[in-house]
Amino acid sequence: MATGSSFAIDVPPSLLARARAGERAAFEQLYRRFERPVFTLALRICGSRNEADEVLQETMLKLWSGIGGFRGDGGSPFWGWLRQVAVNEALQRLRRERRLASELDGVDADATAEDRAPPPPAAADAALLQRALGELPDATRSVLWLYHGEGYTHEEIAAAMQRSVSFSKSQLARGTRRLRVLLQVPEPVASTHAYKKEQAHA
Amino acid sequence: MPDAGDFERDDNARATDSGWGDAFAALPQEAPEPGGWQRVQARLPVPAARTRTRWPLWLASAASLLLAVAIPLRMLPSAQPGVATAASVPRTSATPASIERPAAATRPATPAVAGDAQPELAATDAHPGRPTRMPSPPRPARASAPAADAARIVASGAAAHADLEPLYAQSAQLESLLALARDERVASGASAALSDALDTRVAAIDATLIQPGLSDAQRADLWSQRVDALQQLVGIETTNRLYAARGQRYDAALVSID
Repeated sequence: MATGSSFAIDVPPSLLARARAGERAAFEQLYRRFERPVFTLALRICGSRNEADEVLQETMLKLWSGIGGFRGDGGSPFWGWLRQVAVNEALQRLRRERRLASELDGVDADATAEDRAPPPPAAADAALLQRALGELPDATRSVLWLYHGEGYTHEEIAAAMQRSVSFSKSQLARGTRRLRVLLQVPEPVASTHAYKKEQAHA
Repeated sequence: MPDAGDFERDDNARATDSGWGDAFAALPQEAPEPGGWQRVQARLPVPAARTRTRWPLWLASAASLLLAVAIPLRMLPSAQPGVATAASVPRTSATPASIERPAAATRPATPAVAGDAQPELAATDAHPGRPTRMPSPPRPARASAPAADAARIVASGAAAHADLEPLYAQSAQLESLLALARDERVASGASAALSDALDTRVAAIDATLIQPGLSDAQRADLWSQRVDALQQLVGIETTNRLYAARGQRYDAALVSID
């Protein structure tokens, strides 16, 4: 799946080279290009604009101090590297405030079963979806955003959040179900039965 | 930290084809509060070397104002007795041997009298109510200017002036004028920075002048550079005073010119 991340912005190598050389004008250009993606990501993970602004600041300062370390080995894009810096910064803030412990829990048997049903029509309403995301626990919301919004794998989420892969899977499943409820759409019964069936066969 | 190498892979096992990914991607991007770049910029480390690209313009503006301000000030001996005394000293001593001593009254680091601080003290005492930013201690410090700077000055090219007497006289006159014109009470941040830079320049020249083995052409070039730097200094200081007398800001004038 090609990620739909807003970070996916190509940066000219010459601009990167100038920024690496310490040219502030080049760094400002990088800031302008990635200001909104970083802020949006931080807002989705942290949940408040003030915190997102602080994450943006810290991420950009780390970009300034660490851009010399980015080599783009293996064809990895600059935006992916910067996004990882931003993710780490946002998650670190949650971890520092012990907010990553805030997660959805339960004892349901299919806690890690992926919800392959299409989202409810209300998910197309940006305001409704944002409000629903805002009502999720921080850790759950982070998993959902990293998975659905940024295209992270469960392994990558587990590594970033310093948790297990099953944690990522269970939070995704529970969070998706909670989103359906918050969007006031009943969970599709047929698809649930299908998953249970698949699990029984597995 | 993953370097984004796996982010774009086509992972068929993902469940984002369900449409949640599209719904998340359709959410509008949020914009931070304005001024974010300024806040980041304020926290960036200060660059080691300051850019000097604007200085020539500033110096040019100061030098151009010199003609309009410094020269009329020199023409007022009767209005300011103290000025007349100090400014007239170089005029009465035209030969190099006699110039060195009066010039030292405000410029003890001049090569021939590098360690002689007495004359300057006398000149300062003659105008106790007039602060000066050119006391005797900083001048000896000029003798310790980096050798690299001194070498650069020597290498900057030799002038063809064989006769140094006019330069001696001009330098002494400018030093006298500078001692009178300087007043930290009316100095602005920008002008103080400019003055300091020019002071350093003069110090480097002085340090070079005391080196043995300089040819006449090199000495003439150095003295010419010294006079030029002093002219700019006098221009800055007198312009400072002029703007202060008008109730204006020197910095604002520079910015408008720039």
